[in-house]
Amino acid sequence: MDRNLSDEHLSFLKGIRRRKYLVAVCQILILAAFFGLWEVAALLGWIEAFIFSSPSRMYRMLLSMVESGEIFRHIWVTASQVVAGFVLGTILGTLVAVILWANDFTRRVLNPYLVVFNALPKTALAPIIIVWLGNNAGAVIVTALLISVVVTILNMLTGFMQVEEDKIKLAQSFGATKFQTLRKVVFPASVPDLINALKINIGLSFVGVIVGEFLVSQAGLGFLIVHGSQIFRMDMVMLSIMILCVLAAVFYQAIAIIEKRFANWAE
Amino acid sequence: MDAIVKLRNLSKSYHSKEGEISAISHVDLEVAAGEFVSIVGPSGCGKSTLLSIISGLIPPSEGEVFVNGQIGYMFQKDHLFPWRTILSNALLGLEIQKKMGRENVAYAHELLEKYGLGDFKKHRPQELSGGMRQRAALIRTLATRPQILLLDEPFSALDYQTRLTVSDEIGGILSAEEVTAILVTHDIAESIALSDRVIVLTQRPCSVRNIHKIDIDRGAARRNSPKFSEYFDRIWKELREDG
Repeated sequence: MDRNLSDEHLSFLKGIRRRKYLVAVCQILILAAFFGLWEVAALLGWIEAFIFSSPSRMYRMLLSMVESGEIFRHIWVTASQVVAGFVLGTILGTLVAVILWANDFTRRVLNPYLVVFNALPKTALAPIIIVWLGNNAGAVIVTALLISVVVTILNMLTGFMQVEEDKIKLAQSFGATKFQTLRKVVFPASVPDLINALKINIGLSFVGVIVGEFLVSQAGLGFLIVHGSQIFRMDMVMLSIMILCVLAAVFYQAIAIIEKRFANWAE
Repeated sequence: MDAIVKLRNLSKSYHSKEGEISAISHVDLEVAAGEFVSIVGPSGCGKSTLLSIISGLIPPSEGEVFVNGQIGYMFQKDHLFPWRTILSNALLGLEIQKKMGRENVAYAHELLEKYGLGDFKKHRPQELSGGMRQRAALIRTLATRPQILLLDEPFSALDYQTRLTVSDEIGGILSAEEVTAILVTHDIAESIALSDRVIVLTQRPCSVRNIHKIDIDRGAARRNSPKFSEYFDRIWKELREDG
């Protein structure tokens, strides 16, 4: 970097750093105030800790579940199901989008079905899937997959169709086959759309897995939430929700890293 | 010299629900090997369609096309892929044609070096100027060793100054590499500066209105020749009468 920076530029840089620091401080303060107020309210009896729980009660619950090792099993079950639903939904959705892109006739035929399926709340299908597939992890994954697959199809198809005609013509002028056009031009050009789909899908996959776990499973954070509310252990419910928040943040961050890697992909 | 491209009584119509639009009507044209031919015409006439038909990307409605050699295509925009480096962009055609042998790859390297992109092989297209990008796009096509190059207004996306330099540069490269070129443009000066013959088309449905043989020495000085403006005036008049 240039060492001979003007005073004006130095104070400009300092301003940027200061602002960044202030934002971070405020973010932490909000979190601290939220938990602090919650704890104080429970302690002073403004809210009923048995119903609303409190940070210290959640912490004790966490300790006991860590000690028994139980919590790791539940986190693992939910996380692995989310990843499975997310990956399968993205791959399947992209494959269907490729077929629809390659075949104009199929695309026209299937369009109304896609539109309806997209508008349908997929969680309504969860009970049917459980009847068909049984009371197991497979049913949970399929529920998650169903929710993310349609959005992926529509997103990727739009991306594929928006690739400039001349770019395709260029590949064709070299004698490219349809598959080569897809592999060398259309798919790489749609990578930003794929990343967008990933971002949406991770959230949708969470919805699918939690709904699935509400309905079927004997493990997972969704199960803990339902189970805890049934036996009136609100500490367990609140703790599970907190862990879900952390898990969601971790997954989102992972996708942000992928996105950064492809930052210079688009024009 | 033998004709490398021959169009006989060529017509093309487009069909839509609203009816039939005739884009090209009975065009006859011969281009000799090594020749540089420009096609000018009123905007919206079927100039680009003509190139697409020559390249085989779309079939004619009527008439015959003879092409004796491999075709390369250059577009208005360079269409370099931002996810590829300049080198790997230049290799795209070879990759698609599965001709990534050592000799061909070396040839692509050689072209990049020869035309001033040697230091930019590892760069992304976003890091290059418009003129350099257009040169890289040309090398991408030349790497597949086409005998005939179709240029579809390849300079029109560039600003005026870059355009003058780049069109002279590319004209030079093409005559050095002895490639037959067919250039579609709406820039009369460009067509006179670059070609052996200028073909003036009529309003849609387009047919050949006139052919001008450009009888001035090739090179950058061409634009300064007194004959240059004579050609310009004649072609401009023909286009205006038609428009």
